[in-house]
Amino acid sequence: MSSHFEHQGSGAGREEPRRQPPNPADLRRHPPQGETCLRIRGLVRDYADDELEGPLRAAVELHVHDCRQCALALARAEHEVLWLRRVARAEPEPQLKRTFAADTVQRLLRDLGRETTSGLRLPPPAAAAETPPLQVAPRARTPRGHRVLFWSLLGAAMALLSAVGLFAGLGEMEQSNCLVAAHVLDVYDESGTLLRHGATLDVGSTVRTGRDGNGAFEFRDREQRRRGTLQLNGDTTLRLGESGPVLVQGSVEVDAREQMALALADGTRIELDGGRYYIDASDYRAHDGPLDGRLGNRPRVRVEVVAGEARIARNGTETELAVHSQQVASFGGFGPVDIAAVPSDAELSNRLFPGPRDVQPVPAEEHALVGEVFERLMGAPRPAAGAQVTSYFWRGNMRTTCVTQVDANGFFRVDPQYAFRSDFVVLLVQPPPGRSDLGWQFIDARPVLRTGGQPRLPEPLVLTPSMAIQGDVTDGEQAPLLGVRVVPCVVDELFGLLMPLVDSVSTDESGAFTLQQLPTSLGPHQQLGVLLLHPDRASRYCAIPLPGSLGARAGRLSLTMEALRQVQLQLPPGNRSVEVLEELVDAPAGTAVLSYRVQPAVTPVALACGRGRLWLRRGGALLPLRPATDPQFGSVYRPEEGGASVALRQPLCTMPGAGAFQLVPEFRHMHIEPAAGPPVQLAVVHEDSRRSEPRAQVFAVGTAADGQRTVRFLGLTDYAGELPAALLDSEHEVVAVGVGGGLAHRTVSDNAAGSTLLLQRCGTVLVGPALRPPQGSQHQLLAVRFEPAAGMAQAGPFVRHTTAAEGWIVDRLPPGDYTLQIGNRRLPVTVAADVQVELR
Amino acid sequence: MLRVQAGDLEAFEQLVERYQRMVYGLALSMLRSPEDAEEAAQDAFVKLFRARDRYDRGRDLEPWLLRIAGNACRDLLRRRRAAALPSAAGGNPDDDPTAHLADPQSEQQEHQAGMQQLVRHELDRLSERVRLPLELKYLRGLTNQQIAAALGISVSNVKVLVAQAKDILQSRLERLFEA
Repeated sequence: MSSHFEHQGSGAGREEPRRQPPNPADLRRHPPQGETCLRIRGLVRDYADDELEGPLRAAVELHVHDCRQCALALARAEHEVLWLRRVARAEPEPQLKRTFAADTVQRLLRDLGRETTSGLRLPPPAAAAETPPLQVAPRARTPRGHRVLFWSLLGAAMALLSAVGLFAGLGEMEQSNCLVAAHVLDVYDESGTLLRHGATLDVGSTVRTGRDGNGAFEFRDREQRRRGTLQLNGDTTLRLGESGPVLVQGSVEVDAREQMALALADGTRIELDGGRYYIDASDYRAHDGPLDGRLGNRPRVRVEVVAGEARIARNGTETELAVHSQQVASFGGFGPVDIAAVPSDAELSNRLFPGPRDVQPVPAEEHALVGEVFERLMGAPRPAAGAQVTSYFWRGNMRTTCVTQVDANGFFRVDPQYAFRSDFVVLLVQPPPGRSDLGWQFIDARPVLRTGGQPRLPEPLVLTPSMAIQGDVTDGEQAPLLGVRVVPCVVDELFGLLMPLVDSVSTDESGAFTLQQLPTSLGPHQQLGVLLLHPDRASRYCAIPLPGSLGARAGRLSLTMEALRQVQLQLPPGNRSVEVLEELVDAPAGTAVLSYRVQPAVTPVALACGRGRLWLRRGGALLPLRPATDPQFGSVYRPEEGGASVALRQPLCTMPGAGAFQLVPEFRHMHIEPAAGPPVQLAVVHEDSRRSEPRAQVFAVGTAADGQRTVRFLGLTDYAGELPAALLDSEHEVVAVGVGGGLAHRTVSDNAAGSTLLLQRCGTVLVGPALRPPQGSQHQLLAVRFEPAAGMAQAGPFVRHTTAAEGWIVDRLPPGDYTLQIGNRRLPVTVAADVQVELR
Repeated sequence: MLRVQAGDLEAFEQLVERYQRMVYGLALSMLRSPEDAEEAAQDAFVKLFRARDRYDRGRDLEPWLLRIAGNACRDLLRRRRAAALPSAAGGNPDDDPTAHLADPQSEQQEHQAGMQQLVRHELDRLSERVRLPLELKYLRGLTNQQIAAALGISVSNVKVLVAQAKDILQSRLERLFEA
């Protein structure tokens, strides 16, 4: 990063334009913490104006990710711009006389009349009269001879309007249209309201699709005749102007029934005959670049004609270019429009993932799932060549796992031998070998889109830089522990599952450890943790904050391991050794256990173990070992015949004594096979607003014959927040997890009836001063452990971290009763929606 | 432009139609009078036509036109000021950001009427030196390079002036909110 600053510094005042200076009052109120902060402050206003490119832009993004003060400065800079743009939008458009151009010519002639008009070619009087300025009917076929004027007028008008952000301000346009949303997923209007099927958009409306979203819109004219269908892909913004749709950013597929027009925000106008088109303006904002042509001829907009004909009139050009069927036009900056034949069908798949790379499309296999993986470090995203993608999906009656490598262009392809028919796919992405600077992208479910019949992921997967997390492990008396095995893992707070992550590390002689490649974000109700394993200490699980979070930056982690305890086991005598299991303290029930081989004897046998609960495995059964007082041997642990073994379940990972330790991958989407039977129409809506929740993850929870809890992933809700799913007879509870972490659960009693799940809002807990770490102490990170009361959706305890930077607030807690633990203090607390509870 | 250079008035009319909104918007921001803005815009196009032989084909037309338009506006301003009595005897309003605060009560009413009007109001009260780059950038949508061409200053100066305008604007708005 420093090299970019140096470049900027050396160029300042000569080649590189100076940056907008930071607000001095802002600097006084929130002094920069160092030289880097100071430099970043000098960039935030240009960032807010979208005038930073490449490394500088990435440098700001990277820095504000870690620096709260600079993040606030950036927010203020963006706020400034926001208000100015709002003023601009509210500003009436300058009205100019329609005869201005003709009047100007007349004035010129008057002026020249005093001199000479020889050598001038006068305009034919009829021409101006036939084509009054800005009187344009988009549907009418303009005579070819007049089309140049037609487009130049439109171009000029659109250029000015786009410049002031008034795409809908074509008040003199006679056409008035509306859009009707047909199928939308993660699509919002300008107020941020999620659009629903059937919503009508009026002139002036803006629709925006989220990164994962898409939407199909019917474009209708004033007489409500369908002119065409617009398929918006992810991260796309479209504004409905009076003269037609304006693609502000992103990509759109147009299926035009008859002639229609579409504009780009730089004033480019694209007239489409009936046919199919793909228009990609994902890098569109780069158009507003310097005028000196430094952008060169890098193509940034693609207009691909699948069928039909498009005519492009760019702002600033007098030429209208025709693009015929199976041709593609690309242009950008101030370069020319290049028109070429569509190379092959294979590139059609590439268009789905517009990315900043040289296009080398992967051959498209029909019905194979295609996705793309980027890495985002400094500057523009790059293909994450060599990354490994593990996909889990359902095919027929089988759950299939497919491991693929990302190719040099960032593509991966899943299961090319079979048709991919699942509506979702569960993915895990590991960084390329040797890239310890990137974090894993942990397992989560993603929808699959099928526009054009090709299954694809709606957006690229992005690997982001992951900062190392460092910590120290000590015994109870602060002495460093050497050789502690630290195993990072992810725990599911809902279902108590545990999944190992990257390779484990061991502490050095000072008890220190460093973890790399940890994920920088996790799905809702997942937490990052480590297993601490040591043969001479009581092994345990400990939740840790995510890399890059405020909690992770509060300082090194300080973890302790207690000494082993000695217990006496009174086991049924036999000739063969038996297995005794010990649960790991603080780990979700049934996830990780230590395993000991014990030879039973007539007298109790001694076992050095931790403080977790003990179980005896005999045959296939697990019997809890309970402490008892024996008149002959004193305190002993005995197996409790008939004791419930549900709490332990099948352990996912075991550590047999001092030998090998193996973790068995398990995650909540593991069981996704469908059940037979009539489907239940499940709907997930917000409890307060009754707004539907697309992309909610829905699970069926049941109890198996052996009493163990089973979790089955049913799928993701559709754009309307609905999901048809078949349930087993034994499954009576359905749990839905919203995109933002909201939780809904209910008991479904009848497969035939539809069921609505209400997403609950979250509450917050404020840790009072008495419970916070002492001021000035080294560790200003507070781990708060919440143990849900029985009957709540959460299966196991979960841990949240908070620091002074967060005001010692723990938020996004599902409502319910908890037993809360801070250090050795245990407190009952009731969390309610939208309420902050202070702990004293 | 090549046709214009050859004296084709039809092409000139098309050129006017293409750039008239941009030039008129610039003139409106500089002169703040629709009539004056229209006159200056016409001046600019006439000057462009008269100077067509000096047009360098290797360069963009737009910065050149903006520079001509900026000069036309300044010429008109000078003519207007020469014709009118000097009224701006106060000095640079930027010297004291709070010196021109209006009555707090009326400001409060404007605040109630809407934040946008308040920002617009305070924007209008900025000095010409800093208001113009800010207005051209955000209200007229010109790029820094276009503003620099129109005002005859460097891009660096544009950025500095825009930042100064934001500082003053923010300071005044904060004072109003505190009041």
